[in-house]
Amino acid sequence: MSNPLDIVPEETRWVAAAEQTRKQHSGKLLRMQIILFASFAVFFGTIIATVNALLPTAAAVTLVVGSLTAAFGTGMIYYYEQKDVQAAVKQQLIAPLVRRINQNFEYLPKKGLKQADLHHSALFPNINNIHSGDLLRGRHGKTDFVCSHLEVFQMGPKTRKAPFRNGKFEQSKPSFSGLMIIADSNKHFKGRTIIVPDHFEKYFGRWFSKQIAKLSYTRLQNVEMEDPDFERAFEVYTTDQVEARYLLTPDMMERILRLQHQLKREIRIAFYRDRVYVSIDDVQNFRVNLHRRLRVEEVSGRVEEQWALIRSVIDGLGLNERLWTKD
Amino acid sequence: MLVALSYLFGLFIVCALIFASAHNRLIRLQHQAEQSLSTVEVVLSERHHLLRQLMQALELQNQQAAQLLETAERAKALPMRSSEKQRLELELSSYTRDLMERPEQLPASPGHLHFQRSIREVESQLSASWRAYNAAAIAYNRALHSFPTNIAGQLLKLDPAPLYQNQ
Repeated sequence: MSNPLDIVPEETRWVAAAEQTRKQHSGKLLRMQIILFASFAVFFGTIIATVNALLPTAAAVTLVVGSLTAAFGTGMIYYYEQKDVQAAVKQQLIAPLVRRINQNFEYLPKKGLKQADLHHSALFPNINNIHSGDLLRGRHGKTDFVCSHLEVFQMGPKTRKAPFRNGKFEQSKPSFSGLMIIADSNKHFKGRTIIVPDHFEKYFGRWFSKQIAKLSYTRLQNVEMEDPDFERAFEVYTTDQVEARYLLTPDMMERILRLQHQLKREIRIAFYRDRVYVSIDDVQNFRVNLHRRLRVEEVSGRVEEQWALIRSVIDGLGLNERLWTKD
Repeated sequence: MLVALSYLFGLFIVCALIFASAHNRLIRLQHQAEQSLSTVEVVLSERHHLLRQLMQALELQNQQAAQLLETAERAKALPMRSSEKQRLELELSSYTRDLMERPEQLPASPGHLHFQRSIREVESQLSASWRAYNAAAIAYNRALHSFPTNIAGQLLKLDPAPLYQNQ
C-alpha cells in the first residue's frame, strides 16, 4: 500500500491467476452445457419421432429414459461444479481487492448469513428460504462488522397452500435482494427494536398503515416517534418503549433519515443483542461471468460500492462514536 | 309498546358497551402514562445515587457539592408530580449538563472517565424515559379530548396529564 507503483504488477498477477482458473474450468463447463443441450434435443426428438410413429416403442423408451438421466446427471454436476468454480474465481479475484481496502478484512465467497441471523433481526417476517453468500468480515474504526449479500424469499398466501419441498414452495423472485450489514452497537440494550420503511402511510393515511403493520409484527409494540419526517418514512416496533427512545435519540433519527437520502435505497434497521442489523435493498452481488474474460474494473467497482455502503452505514449511524458509552 | 321497550333496551346495552370500552381504553392509557412516569422515577433515583457516589469518590467538599447533595436528597423525598420536585430535578439536570460539557472542572482521578461515561448514560436514559412519558401522556390527553372517550373522562373527572418540558 506504501508505494502505489507496486500495486499494478501485483494486481495484474492476481487477475491473471483468476483468469487462468476461469479458463481451466470454462471449457469443462461449456462441454457440460453442450451435453445438457444435446440430451434435451435427443429427448424432444424422440418424442416427436414416436408421435409420428417413426421409432419402435422399445427404442423410444430407452432413448427417453437415457436422455432424461443424462440431462439430470449433467445438470446436477454442472450446478455444483459451477458453484465451486465461481467461488474459486471470486476468492482469487476479490479477496485481494478486499485486502487492498484493509489488510484485516476477510472475504469468504462460500459463507453467508444463517437463517438464525435473520430471525434475530426480525426484519423479514414469514421467511421461507434465504440465499446468502459473499461474506465480508472486518473492523472499521472501533466497530466490528459482518456483511453479506442476501436474497430473502418470503412466504405468501400462494406458497402456504402449495405443499412442495417439505411444505415449502420456492418463489422465483426474492422479495429482498441486497446487502445485510451486522455491526456492533455503540450502546447497551436488552430488548429488540426494529425500524422498517412505511409504505402505506403515504397512500392510505396513518391509522390504516398502523393497522396493516400491526398484523406483520404482532409480538412487538408500535412506537410513535415525535419527529414527523421520521414517522412518515418509517415505522418503529419495540419490546420496550423507553429503550426504543434510548436508541432512537432525535440525533439518531436525523442520521437515519440522512442515510436513507444518501443511499437512495430502502433501508431497514434492527437492534438486537447489542448489535445493529442494517439491510439495504437493491445491491448487486459479486457474481462473475465464467464464460467471458474477467473484467477487473467491473468487479472492483462493485467491491468499492459495497465498501462505501458499509462505511456510510457505520459512520452515518455514528457507531464509532462511543467515547462516553461503551468501549 | 313491548317492542319499543326492547329496542330501547338494546340501544341501552349498545351504549353501555361503547361506554365500557371507552372507559377501559382511557384507563389503560392513563396507566401507561403512570407506568412511564414510574420509569422516569427509577432513572431519577439512579441519577441521585450516581451523583452521591461522584461526590464521595472525587471528595468534592466545596459548597456547591454540598448544596447539590442536599438538592438531590430533597428531590428524592418529594412525590413525582410535585412542581417543586420538577424544579429541583431541572437544577440537577443543568448541573450534569454542565459536567458533560466541561469535564475539566472535576479533579483528575482514575475514576473520572468512568463517571463521565455513567453520567452520560444516565442522562440519555433519562431523556429517553421522559420522551416515553411524553408520548404516553400525549396519547392519554388525546383520548381525553376526543369522542367517545371524552364522555368517560368527564364522568370520571380525569385531568389531562402534564407534559414534561426540559428548560
